[in-house]
Amino acid sequence: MIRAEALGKKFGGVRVLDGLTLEIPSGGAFALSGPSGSGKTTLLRLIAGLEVQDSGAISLFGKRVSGAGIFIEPERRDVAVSFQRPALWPHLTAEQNVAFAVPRRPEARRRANDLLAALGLAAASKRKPQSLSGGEAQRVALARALASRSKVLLLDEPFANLDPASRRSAAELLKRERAEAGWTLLLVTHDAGQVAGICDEAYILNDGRAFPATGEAS
Amino acid sequence: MKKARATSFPQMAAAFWAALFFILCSGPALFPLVQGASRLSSGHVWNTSRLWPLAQRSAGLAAFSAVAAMTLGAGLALWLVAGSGTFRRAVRVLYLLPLLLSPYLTALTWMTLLSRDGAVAQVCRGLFDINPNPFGFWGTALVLAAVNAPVITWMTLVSLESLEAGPLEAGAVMAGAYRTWRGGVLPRLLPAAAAGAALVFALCLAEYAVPALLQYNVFSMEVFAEYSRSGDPALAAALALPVAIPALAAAAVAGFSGRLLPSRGAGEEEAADFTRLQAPPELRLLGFLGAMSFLLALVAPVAALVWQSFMGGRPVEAVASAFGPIAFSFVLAVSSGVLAAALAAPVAWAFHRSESRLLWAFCLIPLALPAPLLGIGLLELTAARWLRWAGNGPWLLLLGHALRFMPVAALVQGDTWRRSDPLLWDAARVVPVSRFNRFALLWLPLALPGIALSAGLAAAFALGEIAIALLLCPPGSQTVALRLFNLLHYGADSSVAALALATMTLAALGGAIIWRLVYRRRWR
Repeated sequence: MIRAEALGKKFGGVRVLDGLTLEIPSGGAFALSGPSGSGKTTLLRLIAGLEVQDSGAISLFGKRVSGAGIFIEPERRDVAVSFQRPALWPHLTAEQNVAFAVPRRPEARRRANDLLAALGLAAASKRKPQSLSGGEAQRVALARALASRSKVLLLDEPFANLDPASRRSAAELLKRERAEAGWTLLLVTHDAGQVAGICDEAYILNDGRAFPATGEAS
Repeated sequence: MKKARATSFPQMAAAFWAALFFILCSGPALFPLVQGASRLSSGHVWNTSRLWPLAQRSAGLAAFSAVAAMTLGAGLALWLVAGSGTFRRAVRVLYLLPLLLSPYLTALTWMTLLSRDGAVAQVCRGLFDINPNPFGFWGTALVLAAVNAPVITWMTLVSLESLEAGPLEAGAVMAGAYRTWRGGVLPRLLPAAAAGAALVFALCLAEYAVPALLQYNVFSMEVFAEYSRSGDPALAAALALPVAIPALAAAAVAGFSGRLLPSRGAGEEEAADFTRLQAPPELRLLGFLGAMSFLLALVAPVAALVWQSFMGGRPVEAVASAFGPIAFSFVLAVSSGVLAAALAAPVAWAFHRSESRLLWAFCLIPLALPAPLLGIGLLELTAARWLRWAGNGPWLLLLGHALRFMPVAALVQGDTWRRSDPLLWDAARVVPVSRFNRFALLWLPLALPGIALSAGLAAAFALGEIAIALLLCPPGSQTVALRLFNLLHYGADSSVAALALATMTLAALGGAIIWRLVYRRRWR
């Protein structure tokens, strides 16, 4: 379960999050949308531990990971993140990028190749990121996030650069992996239609707070 | 799960490394300086009318050199960004080369070119009936400006490259190129150039070799002379105070201005393309002057050395006779460069992660301290009984060079980190692997280009270093820079030119190898 309580975060005097409270049950999949600058990416980075909030607290599966004198480093939170930009390590091939995120070394290459094949990237597995297109790199980044089998999956616009066919295969893979691994998902998107079959609920972030996207609001 | 305080870890780590860095780089130099400060109260040091004019001469020389370097260096940066083509691309690769040519070599070549029989002197006599003089204020200032202008070009380029394409293109469409340059580009360029000028001012105040060769007496020479005369480190350091304090202040201002911290990392907004934005005529003229001065500063010295080496004597014999010092210098320079880069690596990383401008100012401060002070300080420290072992052999000289050029290495590595995509490291932080794997498989490959480049630069600087070598070179050994420096007292003949050319070639070759390695490994 992801639980964010009264989160506050400012950047250079601008309040991005203002007492945001959100709770995602274990195994749940939530979509988060909202206008640009509303703090969607910031919320993801706070949950991952890549930023520290000014106020409030975050708990993952009942354990407080940040807030009031506590800060657990990102690598100890058991979260996987796919960023808005692919952020692939440029000295590693696509396969190595994905395999690096697999905690159990013996199965790393097989798992990486399975994920890349499921995303239509079998032929690109030996290529370096510089030679991948934007869409290919985005899919490799998604495969890397899925490879770690973390309990929490945070995806920031994972389908933004993908063509419709790639988007469908990525969505299928997400559904399948979710059924197998049962991770808790928070997915940021501008287009709620893209994640209709993946997420159980949707929230809208506005004025630093999260509102359920129901009825008129959605 | 391990608990930790919610305070920012990068800030604490950076503060630790900053303290260690400062103690390592500045501690030995500050040791005699602190001792010397107490002598000021006695009035003993200042009981002479010679020192005040000397301070004025030093400040005047440094100020003029800094302004000239700013004009030429910023001009070259403007010329580089304002166009494209093979020649500009080549200059963009080579523009830091004058930094690799040790200042005293540049001074030596201009001494040759402007001497009575020198090529430039003959042209001046023939065309204008004037006898140019490389010695004194003007010669020293111009050599210092030419040598240091690339520092300003680098800082200005970093600043210009941090500008994003969108605002400039919008400005050009809505307000025209001229107003965009005035309102959008110059406000970004001028502070960077001014910060660079402050740094050059500090470097020129601390410079020893060029004023010594071109016979312009300045304070940094006085420090060495006083130590040679009296053997009293405190007295020598007290003499350095009047230049050390303004130099430290200038270096701190240069660092704190934050112009070494561009706001744009790789992978973010597209960088501005200045070739689509025609510069006003005055800036084009400045760019032309900068490009011409760069060519003059690079081509003239090399041409002069080649001419003098091959036309006047036996270059191969001259170089062969100095094989010992060349080999010793090469090994020493490479070792110092590698040590400086290795010591600077955690510092640059910690400073980069902390995003603190104050800490980058720390990096520049040790550079502003007169080099002889570092040598004197290390000698004094190793005079202690428990450290005497370190004073034997070349180790002290190696350490002196590494500490002297560690700030350069940290700055270069910091620049490499700033140009990398910050998300790469964020992506690494959420991966559940051991710290060692993260270090060995991600951090090290990403850091290697910067470490190699900084090691190469530090080695090139160490190859031409004189002030510390004069004090710390072990008996029976001689660096090639020292040999050249000593030979120059008998005049700049063909064997000196051949030796200088060999040193220069060695530095350029090392630079080319490093550049090739870095170019191939730059993951962009």
